[in-house]
Order: sequence, then structure tokens, then C-alpha cells
Amino acid sequence: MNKQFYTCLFGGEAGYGVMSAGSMIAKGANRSGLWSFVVNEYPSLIKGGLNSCLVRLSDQSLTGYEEPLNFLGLFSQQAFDFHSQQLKPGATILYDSTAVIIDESKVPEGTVLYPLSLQQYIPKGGAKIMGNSAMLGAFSALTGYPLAVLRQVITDEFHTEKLREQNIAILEEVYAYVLSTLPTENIFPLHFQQDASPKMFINGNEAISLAAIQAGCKFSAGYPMTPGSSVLSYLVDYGTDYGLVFKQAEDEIAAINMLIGASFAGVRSIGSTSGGGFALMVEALGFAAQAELPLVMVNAQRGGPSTGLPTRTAQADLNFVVHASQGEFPRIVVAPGDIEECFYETFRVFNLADKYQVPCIILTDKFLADSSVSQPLFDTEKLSIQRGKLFEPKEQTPDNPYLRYQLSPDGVSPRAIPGQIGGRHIATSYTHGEDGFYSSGNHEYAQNEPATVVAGTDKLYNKLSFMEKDLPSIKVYGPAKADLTIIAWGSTKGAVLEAMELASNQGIVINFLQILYISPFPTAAVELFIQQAKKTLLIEGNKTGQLGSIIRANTGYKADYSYFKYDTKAFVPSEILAKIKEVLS
Amino acid sequence: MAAFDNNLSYVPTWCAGCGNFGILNAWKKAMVELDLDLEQTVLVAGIGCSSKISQYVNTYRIETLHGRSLPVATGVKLANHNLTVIAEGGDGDGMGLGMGHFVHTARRNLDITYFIHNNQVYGLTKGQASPASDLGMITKFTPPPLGNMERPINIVKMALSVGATFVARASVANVSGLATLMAEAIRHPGFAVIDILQPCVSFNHVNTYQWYGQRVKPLEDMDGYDPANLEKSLAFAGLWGEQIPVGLFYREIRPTFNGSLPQLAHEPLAKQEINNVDITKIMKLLC
Repeated sequence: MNKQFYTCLFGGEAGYGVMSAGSMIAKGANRSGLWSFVVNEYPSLIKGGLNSCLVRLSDQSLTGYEEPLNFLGLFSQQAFDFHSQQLKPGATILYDSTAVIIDESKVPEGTVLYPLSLQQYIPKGGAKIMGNSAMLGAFSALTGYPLAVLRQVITDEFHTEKLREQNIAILEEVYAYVLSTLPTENIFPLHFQQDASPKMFINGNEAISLAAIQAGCKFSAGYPMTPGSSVLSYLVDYGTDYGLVFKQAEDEIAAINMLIGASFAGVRSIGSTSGGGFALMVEALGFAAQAELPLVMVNAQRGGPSTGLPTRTAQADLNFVVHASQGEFPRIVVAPGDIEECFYETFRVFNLADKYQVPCIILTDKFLADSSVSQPLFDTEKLSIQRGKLFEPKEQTPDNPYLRYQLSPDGVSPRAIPGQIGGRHIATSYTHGEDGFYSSGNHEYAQNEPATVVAGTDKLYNKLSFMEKDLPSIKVYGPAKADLTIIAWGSTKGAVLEAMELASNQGIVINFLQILYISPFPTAAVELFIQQAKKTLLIEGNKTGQLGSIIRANTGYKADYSYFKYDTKAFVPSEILAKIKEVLS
Repeated sequence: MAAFDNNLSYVPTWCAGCGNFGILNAWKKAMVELDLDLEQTVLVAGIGCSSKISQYVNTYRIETLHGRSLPVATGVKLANHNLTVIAEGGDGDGMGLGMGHFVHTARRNLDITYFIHNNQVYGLTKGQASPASDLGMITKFTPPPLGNMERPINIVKMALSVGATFVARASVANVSGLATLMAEAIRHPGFAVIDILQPCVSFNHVNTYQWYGQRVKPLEDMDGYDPANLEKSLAFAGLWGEQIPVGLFYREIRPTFNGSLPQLAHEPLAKQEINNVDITKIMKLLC
């Protein structure tokens, strides 16, 4: 059966509960056997500005969103001006009649207009945010979305009796009033089930935080930077009960150095920031690599360079994170494409960071970090923690000293943790010999410096071939033979998958190469797959085709076509389909 | 400690006559005086002549980036609060790049010790002005006729102003006095700072052993000395010139950051079991 969709959007100034209105509708749907995909947009302003929350619902699972709307809920004039062109034929506009004037020439014919003075339902002294309960009551009456579902979500959402009762009273009063004005009762186009199996309402940053907690991460440090810092707030909210300590640092430089200190002391640690914060962390990223200390760092990309676009999505930090730091060293860069990958790959990189003693970067973007989707509970049964080679405490002897950076075939040396007997050593930011001593630190050592440096550098790079075998670097979707092969990374995955379905419905055969681990680059696997491709289309959220340049650097291959987008918006399936058709025509 | 110690196999590369030798001797004396378990002690150093001390002692050590010893020390202490954590570096490392970290580490009163080797010049890069260089000092980067035009940072005054709970100054000319202060600083439950005056024989020809010798005066001998009184301590800290007071300026017991966290009330983070984490509770909360 074809997928059924329903899309609504709530828009207004910050402070009116636009996002919580949307998320309550999505949560209610998630509990009733439906699937949701929720995209929040907001400017970087302290107060006001246009906030919007788009909720796409379906009877089957969703990997992306589309802009056309069945329903538009308006708290402000700006929201109308900005979103009126997204309406589908026959859509409904519910608007706060005290704040919005509808220009009927701007809406499609047949649009249902429903004015309502939202503020009049708020009890004296109540916050204006309660207007969203009025909006939800009217939404329920106008669309047929079950009132009981919303009542339950509101009941669970508010933790004080008074607020709960006030909001439910508003919801029910407005529902009854709006219903009484309608000629017939409306029926929601999607079927709500009772007793459906539970699904989480979760965004990328929450999934990363949950994985960190599951992986035994006990320390985090950071400095607020949208859209990366909500990982940190989730760790505070959810992790504290698990013994995790979060330290707000004076800047990102302090933050990453605190993480390195905790890692040296044996604790799994994670940081999260966006491009500007990551830029400040770069010197210490190299320090972690030089000292061979495990480190897990999230960069949730936003538009750049510089302060750039604090709250808008982009995929333009790839080249930066793959190359960040002076000198050369192996690192792991993973770009999850969806919520499941945010969770399972974050868990995996904690193990990999310990196993290979290298810095690991989880590269997401605002769209993935901040969009919430329906997600069945993660399966944690098969996840196991692997700490890699650790030093076994024993007394040191002259014949058998502990060498922190002992050369080994796989490049990894047993790591001693402060407090262990016999493990005393120096971990260092200097290029060093096996004992950690600076390679030109004294006369005897300096004579061997060239050999010491070559051996130490080769040691780091010996890890690569082992790492490559451990990484699920690429994922392939669709049939082996296709009219067109799409190559993409990160959050673009969801839109590509849906575009493939759309294409398939029209008889166009597409397959898709997702590059999940971009460093170390999976050269052999990518080469093998590309050799079989008829035509390729590279899709990236940046201006210059950064993954394309990495593919070309490693394989010599240049994609036949490209679709680059850097207009602050995430990719949508219909536009990818249009590009596919253009390329194949 | 075993007679053999693999961690002590290298000879310092400091210049002959360098004040760092005296600090290293005092450091070892302090360890002996405290009878510290070296396996449970971490020295976190920055980068510079002074930070090289981490290459010549035998605790656990981490030699960090220039200016970053304090945040790394913060991470170590929060990860395992049972460890004795000492941060160490020079006036350039700590008061230049590291200044922001210094201020915030003092504010949070983490239970760590910070030794600043203060020679008022950059030595490893061969003679540039430091944030602690005196006005008018001629260096590679501050040539004549003006010399250094920026007011020097008074480390003791700075430490007192931003909330360090143990603040002292010592001269390396008195190794046993320095060792005693170091031991006291390590014992202090909170952020303890010692500004250690140390001549640089190669690049600072103004603030020499003789120069300090003529000016250094024990605080205990000064009228009105009271290390429990912040205002008086600040007044003594303001003295720099004809008289340079040395000794313990101030000591206060205040709740430490690590001591205030409920997560650290029992086992250190590093000792927590991580194999049986169950996140079902959070996942259900999100449904």
C-alpha cells in the first residue's frame, strides 16, 4: 500500500510554544502506531523571530520531510507571510485572529481559513505559551486528530498539577467550541491504533547522548554552541543519574583539554560543539593523537565560516574535520545519516577510540542533530564494551620496563591508567620514543631522532589497515545494477532513500552509496562499487563538493553529476527526484 | 619506590645555573616530606623550560600543550579525585595562553596544586617578553629604547583576586623553604598556587639571583601579617619592587568543586563499572 502522509506546520514568535505544539502532535502519533518526522527552524535571536515546527506524519516509517502542508497553524503575521506558499490545495489555516491578517490572494483556492483568538482562553496570569494548548484543541477539532491522544500527551508533559489542569482545560474548551462551529466532524486521514508498540520521539543529539551513556562515558566538558551543545544538555539531563559528570568549560580549548585529561585518567569522555568550537579545539585534537589518548568529539555542522549561520544546517565542515591539525595522524571520522546510526555508530566509536587510541569525530549537522523522528527502542543487547589494550599492573624491573608507546605490529601499545602499579610514564604532546620521552630531549636520544620519529610515525599509521577492517565504512542501498548511482553522506541519506522510492514508483532504478566512515577513507570499497556504476550523482550540502574531492583524491574518480545545496535547508526527496530526472533525461 | 626507576633515566637539559634545578630539588624534597604514593600522583605540565620538569620526575605525568596544563589537570582530577594532581609550568605558559584557564580554575576551587616557575621571560623560545616581564625590560620582541611597555602581571595578586584558596610566593634561592611550601600547597584541600621566583641565567639579565636576593623578604617578618585575612594579603601582594614578600600570603578552606559533586561522593569516575549500563529508563521517558 502506498504511504499516506500528513504534514502540518506551526509558526510564530519564540515564546508561543510553537515547537512544543508540534512535538506533542508527533509524540501522540508515535504512541498510536504512526511515524513522524519533525523539523524545527529558528533564527539565532534571544527573543522573537520566526520559529517554525513542521510535523510530517505517516502510516509507515519516515526518513525525510517535504514542505507542502495540509495544515498551517499561525501565531504571527510573519509566519503567514513566510509559509503561505507551502499550502497544498484544500489545506486548513488556523490562525490567531488577534495577530494575523490573511491575504486571501496568497492562498490557494479552497483553503479553509479558521480564525481564533487564542489568547482569550489563557487564564489570568497564565503564560502566553498556553496559547499552544488552545491551538492544539482547535487543531484536533479541525483535523479529526484524536483529542484523547493529545490529552494524554499533555498529561504526561506537565509535571505540576496546576499547569496540567490548566492546559487540559484550555485544550478541551477550545476543542468543544471549534467543533460546535463546524458543519460535520472531521476524520483524520491517518489511522490511530491503540496499544501500539512504543516508539521514542528522539533527535540526533539525543541519540548520540544515549549511546555515550550506554558506552560507559562518565565525563563530558563543553562550551555552549548551537547546534552541538544539546548533546551536552542531554548528558546533563539523562547522564547525571548514571554518574556522568559534565563540566562547563571557559572555552572550547579548555573543554577538549579537560576531555583529554579525563581520558588519560581512564574515563571515557565525549565533547560536542559546532564548527567554530571545533576550530578552537584543533590543536588539542592533534595532542590527543600524539599522546595516543582516546577521544570522542561531536561536530554538529552549521553554516560557516566564522559565526556563520548558528541555527541553520550545512555540510561544509567535512574537509576541515578530516584534515584538522598540523602534522599527520590517523583519525576516525564518522558521518551518521540517521538516528539509528547516531546511536549505534557513537557506541561503536567509543570502542574504536579505546581500541586504536585515536581521536574520533562524529560529524553531524543541524538537521540531523535537531530533527526528531519516531524510533523504536534501540537494541542494546548485543552491544559490548571493549576497552582495547590496557596495561596489566605489575612492578617494573630494569629488564622489563613499561613502555607506554611500545612499538607493535598493529601500532597499538598497552595503555596504563594513573593509579596502576608499575604503569608510571609520561604521556606527551611531543614527538617521542617508546618511553614517551621527547625525541630530541637529550644527547643520547637526539642521535637517534630520525629513526625514532620514523618508527613512531609508522606506528601510528600501522593502525590504519586494522582500523579499515573494523569499520562498516560504506553502505549500499538498492539493486546492484541501476540507471544512476547516488553518492552522499550524513543526513542527506534520509532524503535520498525516499527519493529512491519515488523514483522506483516511476520505473527509475537508482542505487545509493552512503559513505559512513569518511576517515580512514574506504578507497578499495568505493573503487569497487564505482566501477560498476553506469552514471553517478554526487549530492552534498555544500558549495564545493567536499566528499567529491576526497573521493577524487583517493580514487581518481570524479562523479558524473552533482547536486550541491547550501541554502540553509536540508535536502528533500522531491527535489532529489527532480535532479535524478534531469540527469537521466 | 624501587631503586631502579625507568622514569628517571634522563638528564635535564636546562642551562647551567638555571633556577629550574633548584625547583626540581625542592619538588623531590616535597614528595619525600609528604611520602606521596607516586603511582597515585599525576604531574600535568605545559610547554616551556619549566614544564620540562615533567621529563625528570617519576610520578604519572602528562606533558600537555602550551598553556593548557590546568584544563587537562581539571579533567584528570574529575576523572579520578583520589589522585594527587599537580599542574606546573612557567609564567609565559600560565599567564599568557593559560590565563583564562587560571582564572576559571581558581574560581572553581578544584583540589589541585599549581606551581608557576616565574622567570619573567620566555626561555625555550630564547628571550621574548613574558606577561610577567617588568616595565622597560629589553627582550627580543621588545627592543630598545622602549622595552616592554605592558604592566607585568602580579601572579600572587591575580591568584588572590580570582579565588585561589592557597596563595604563596617563594624564591628558588631557598630550596628548603620552597619544598616546605610545596608540601603545604599539595596538602591544601583546594586550588593552591605558588609563584616561584626563578632567575633565567640565559635570557633575563635583570631579575638575577642578586636582584631577587636584595629584595626578597619573608612575609612572616612583616607587620600585620595575617594569612587568614584576604584584604591584608592583597595589600602585601601589591608590594613589588624594593621589597618582594615571599611566603604564604593567604589560606582559606572553601568547598572544592570536586568535593561538591554528588557523582564523586563515592568511587572516582575512573573506577565506576561501565559494563552493565541500562538505558531503558531514558528510552521509555522519550516514548
